[in-house]
Amino acid sequence: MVRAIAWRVAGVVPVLFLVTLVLFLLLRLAPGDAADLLVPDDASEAEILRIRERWGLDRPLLEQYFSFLLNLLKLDLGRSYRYGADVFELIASRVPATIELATLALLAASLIAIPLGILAALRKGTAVDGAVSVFAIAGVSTPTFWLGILLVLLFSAELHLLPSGGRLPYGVQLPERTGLHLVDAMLAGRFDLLGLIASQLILPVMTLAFSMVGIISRITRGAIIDVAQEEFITTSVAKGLTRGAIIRHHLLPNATVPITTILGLELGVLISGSIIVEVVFSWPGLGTLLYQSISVRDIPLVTGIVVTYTTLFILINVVIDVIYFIIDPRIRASQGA
Amino acid sequence: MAEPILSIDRLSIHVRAGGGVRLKIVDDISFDILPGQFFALIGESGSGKSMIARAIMRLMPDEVLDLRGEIRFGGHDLAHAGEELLRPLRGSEISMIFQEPMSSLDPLMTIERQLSEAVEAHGKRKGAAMRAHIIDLLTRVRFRNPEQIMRSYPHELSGGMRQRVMIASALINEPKLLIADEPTTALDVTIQAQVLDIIASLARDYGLAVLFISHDLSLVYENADEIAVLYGGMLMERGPARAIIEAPAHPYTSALLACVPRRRTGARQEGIEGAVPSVSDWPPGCRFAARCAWRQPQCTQHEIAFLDLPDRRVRCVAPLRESAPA
Ligand SMILES: Nc1ncnc2c1ncn2[C@@H]1O[C@H](COP(=O)(O)OP(=O)(O)OP(=O)(O)O)[C@@H](O)[C@H]1O
Ligand SMILES: [Mg+2]
Repeated sequence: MVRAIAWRVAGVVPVLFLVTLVLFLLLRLAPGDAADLLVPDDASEAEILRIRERWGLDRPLLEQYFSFLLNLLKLDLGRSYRYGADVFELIASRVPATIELATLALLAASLIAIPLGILAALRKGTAVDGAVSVFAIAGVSTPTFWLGILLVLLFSAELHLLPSGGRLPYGVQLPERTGLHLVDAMLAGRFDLLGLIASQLILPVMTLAFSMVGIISRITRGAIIDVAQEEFITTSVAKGLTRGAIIRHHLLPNATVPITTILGLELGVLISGSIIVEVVFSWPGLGTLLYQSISVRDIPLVTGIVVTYTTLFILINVVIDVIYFIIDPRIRASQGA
Repeated sequence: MAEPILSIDRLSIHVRAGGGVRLKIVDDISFDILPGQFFALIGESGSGKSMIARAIMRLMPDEVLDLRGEIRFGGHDLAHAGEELLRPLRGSEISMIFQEPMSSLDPLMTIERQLSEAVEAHGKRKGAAMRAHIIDLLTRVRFRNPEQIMRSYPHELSGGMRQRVMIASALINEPKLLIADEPTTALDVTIQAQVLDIIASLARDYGLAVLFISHDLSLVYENADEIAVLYGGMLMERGPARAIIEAPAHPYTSALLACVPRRRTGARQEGIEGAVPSVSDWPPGCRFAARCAWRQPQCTQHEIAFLDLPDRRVRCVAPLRESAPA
């Protein structure tokens, strides 16, 4: 088990190597000169040259890449062109906001979609099933940014029920420890702030969750229907088990494997969706930072953020492998417990 | 003569096939099984054996539209009984084992849990007594290390071992009737004999009636008391096993016997000439006529009724037995 996990984590290395290489080439080979962004409009040639030298932009591409890799090993991602600050620290300060949003959205999506999928499967072919599938199609086909804007217009601009963006209302102070606001508020004993924080979270979380509800509920439905056709379900009916016992002890546990898989595959949607949602709701996470840094060609920052997303993606996949390991004895056997 | 434990009376089964077509896949079947009897239901693939087996326990697929006729068991008509009557019978009075031991156990559950679940469903035993009972049954299906088997997951066992676990699970509540739907077909030949022997000897020990389903007559030579031969959803011949094996009256039974592989001489299996026609286009008259070596003009002119011979019933206008009227 430990070896299997270590192996997966080690898999981060070649992936990151490829990702950074592609990113490096794309960003450097794209038209336009990064140095232009670092100097005032009226800078002289000499000034530009000095700047290029200072940021190492004059060295050969390969050399730049290798020094980048060496620094990466030391968790040194360089300095942001735009903010001048250390990229690693900039990113670290934004990661909790993204994790908070993404985790809650995945949780909300699962809590809505999995029961819906189960219900649709158990009532296959009925009106309930039809209604769930309409809902699912709506979820899949609604563009996330459009839904986000729509919700803001409705709940903030029109009804004044919920804030339109940001993590905390202006002027509210919260001592940060984990960077996850709900957790921080509880740690600080500021339970009065929980409602405020939650109201900031509702719209972005729901927007992001809605983009995943469709696929998760369809997959859950399919998984349950597939398992229901397995011979061991017939065996359990033949044993005289009640319908409830069959669902709880055989149907649902066996459906968790494909459902977990889809939750893993949805990570891609979760990450790309979270970038859009963060931008729409001015959520100060990695996504907004990425958006801003791309628009000013802040190469070190863009690179650092993409590296972070890739690492997060792989780490969450490791967590999913661990979940498989816990639920499925066949996987335990094949990976040597 | 003893009262039958199971009495199937004029059972017909309709299914919904592609394009909303209604097909009769089991046609007017009747037979009785007596307590402790080993009853073999024989027929080629697609003849409706599994449908009949599943109808008895009402485990049919959704495509089944309706059951006509009666399935009498313990004073009830199972063909028209509700879930509240069926559930307590399943696994307690009637048990079933299936063809595919690889898929009939839950892959995520230990053998012990799957067996104790079967006991608990009918609340007959608990705790240490239940455990002892499980160990006893696993020993009876000839496991030398029952406690280790209990801790195992299905994937850790071979096909033959899983089928023995299934047998233990089926017998755990001491049912009166065991339905075994081709329980050895998916197993290696060497293991087939062992599993068959376990079923037959446990049935004797428990005084259990067995409905044994197979496409292979040779499997039931030794153990069957009664044989019913099914073709295209219709019974062709039914009677005492010995009589049927020694002198088949229906040409189809005879053809089935002829293609039984001769294990000892190693002779090749011939198979019956021609293919089973698809259910949707039965010709009028005898369903086997198209493949029958003794076909006569009247075979395909009208429905063939059962002919009652002294020791059996046969659906044929010209049975092969000498004693039969010509
Ligand atoms: N779910 C279903 N829907 C429609 N028709 C079915 C269904 N299952 C089986 N049938 C049809 O019913 C007939 C009998 O099938 P059944 O499975 O009872 O045959 P069998 O004798 O058990 O064959 P085998 O030896 O292959 O197990 C076949 O013609 C088959 O095509
Ligand atoms: Mg079958």
